[in-house]
Amino acid sequence: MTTISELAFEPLTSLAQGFAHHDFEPEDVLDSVVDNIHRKEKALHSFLYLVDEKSLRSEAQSASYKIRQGSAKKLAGLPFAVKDNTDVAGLPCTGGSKILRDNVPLKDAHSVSRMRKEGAIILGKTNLDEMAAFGIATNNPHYGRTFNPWDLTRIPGGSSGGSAAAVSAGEAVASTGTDTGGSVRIPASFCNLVGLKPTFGRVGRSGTISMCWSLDHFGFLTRTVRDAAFLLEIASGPDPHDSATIGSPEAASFIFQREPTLRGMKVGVFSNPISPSSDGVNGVFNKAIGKFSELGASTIDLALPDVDSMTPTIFAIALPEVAAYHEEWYKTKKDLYGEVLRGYVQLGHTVLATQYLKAQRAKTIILERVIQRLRDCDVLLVPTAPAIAPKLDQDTIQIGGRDYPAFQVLTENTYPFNLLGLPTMSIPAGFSDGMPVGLQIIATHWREDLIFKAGDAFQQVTDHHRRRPEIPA
Amino acid sequence: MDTGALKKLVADLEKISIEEEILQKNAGLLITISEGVAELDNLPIPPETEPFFSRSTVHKTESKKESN
Repeated sequence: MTTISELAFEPLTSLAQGFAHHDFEPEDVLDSVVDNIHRKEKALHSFLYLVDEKSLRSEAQSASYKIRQGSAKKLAGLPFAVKDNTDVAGLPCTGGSKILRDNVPLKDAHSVSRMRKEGAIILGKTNLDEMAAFGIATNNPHYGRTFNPWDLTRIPGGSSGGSAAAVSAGEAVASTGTDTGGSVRIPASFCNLVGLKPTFGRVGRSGTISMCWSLDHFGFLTRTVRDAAFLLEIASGPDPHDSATIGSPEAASFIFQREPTLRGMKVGVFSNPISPSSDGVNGVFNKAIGKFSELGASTIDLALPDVDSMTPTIFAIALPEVAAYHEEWYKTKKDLYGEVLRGYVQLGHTVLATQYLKAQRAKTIILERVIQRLRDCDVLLVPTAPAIAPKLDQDTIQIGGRDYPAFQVLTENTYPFNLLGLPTMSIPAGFSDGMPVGLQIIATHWREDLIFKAGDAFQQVTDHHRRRPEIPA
Repeated sequence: MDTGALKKLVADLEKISIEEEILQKNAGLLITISEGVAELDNLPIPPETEPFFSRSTVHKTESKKESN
């Protein structure tokens, strides 16, 4: 029997079941989450804004009533955090920027609207790197940094680091995030969570502040693979204000097996990633591959084509898109920018239109060739990040005796899949030096079902995702 | 349009100046983009997309023939 204090760490799907069976009520889950916020938020700084407890209690009571009446929807009474680059009606949405410090949207973002229609309770808005741009540390120049619940001297990952820290510490049962180069998956990996970046265009982005429109993905941070699938079922589908979602399947439904087996599944091991991994990460990764074999999958080494072309391609697209998005604000409010984002906006103006267009053309060519190669497997595996979460002000990471810039090396396993728009999920795979290590599962477009099948089977035979961080009082 | 107006139009394109420190700090990234994008012209074009992408390739082949 789960005690009230443990409810905040239960998967969404178990909580929804517990409500339906009247084992506990939404007020109990809220109490558990709020207790964690009271005890841990000062040390973590996950949130930029928290809804007042009276309003939250009133929402939880209303959900309890609906559950008793039998009229509750899928997310009734479940308390979520929302990254502060996504609109929630009536709550501030700063994007982690000074420019938008007084911005209070009148309506929900498409994704939030879908979650609220299913009864989700929104607890507050989480910290992020300024405008979610080029950050892996969630060290916001205007609103402060977020700390990793597993080790307060380390970064939580970014840019959705506030969302990851909140869920990891039991301050929310799940959260939203956005991912342009790894911003959902890297924090998930560093904080021992599941981080889902669906196929490009699967979840609508209207009402979410853009970083680079051809690379931005909306995603989720959860405890389990089933929770990620549960949220994707709700959020998937066309968004009338995001043309990228025209082909998105409405109300997808994912079915999970009772017995964990991957017999008949072909698992590719990405054999030529851009970055090498640390010994600690490699150790965890190799053990994880062994689990997939034990589950009955056949594993093959799979080299992707054009890996060397991916870095110039993505930066030649990302930088000008950032510069274009910020152009008007930058002209009039330059002084309100932090140093890092100011630099990238300026750099975006150094890329020629011809370079941008060549990169967009290369993206299509690379995609064609990668998809052909992915036909040799059902899913592809690679460590989410080549190293564990670095210390707060660590600029370089040593791998194999060589120092690499932290931002560069920590994103090299994730951004290729933003460039290609492929669905990808990071799951907890084990620990190195006491810190979580994430495993990335990739499939071809729209085949999140294969990712969920592989990830769920892995979670059924491992317990890494059940471990919780101990945060000193 | 007179030359003065045209010059103003071009000058407007340069309104966002790049700080020298930012250029220096990101020299590696700028070189990666500059050299890397130039290399992208050499990516093999998959046969099914050739009609769409082949213009520059055809042009290059013809130039090569001429120089021969």
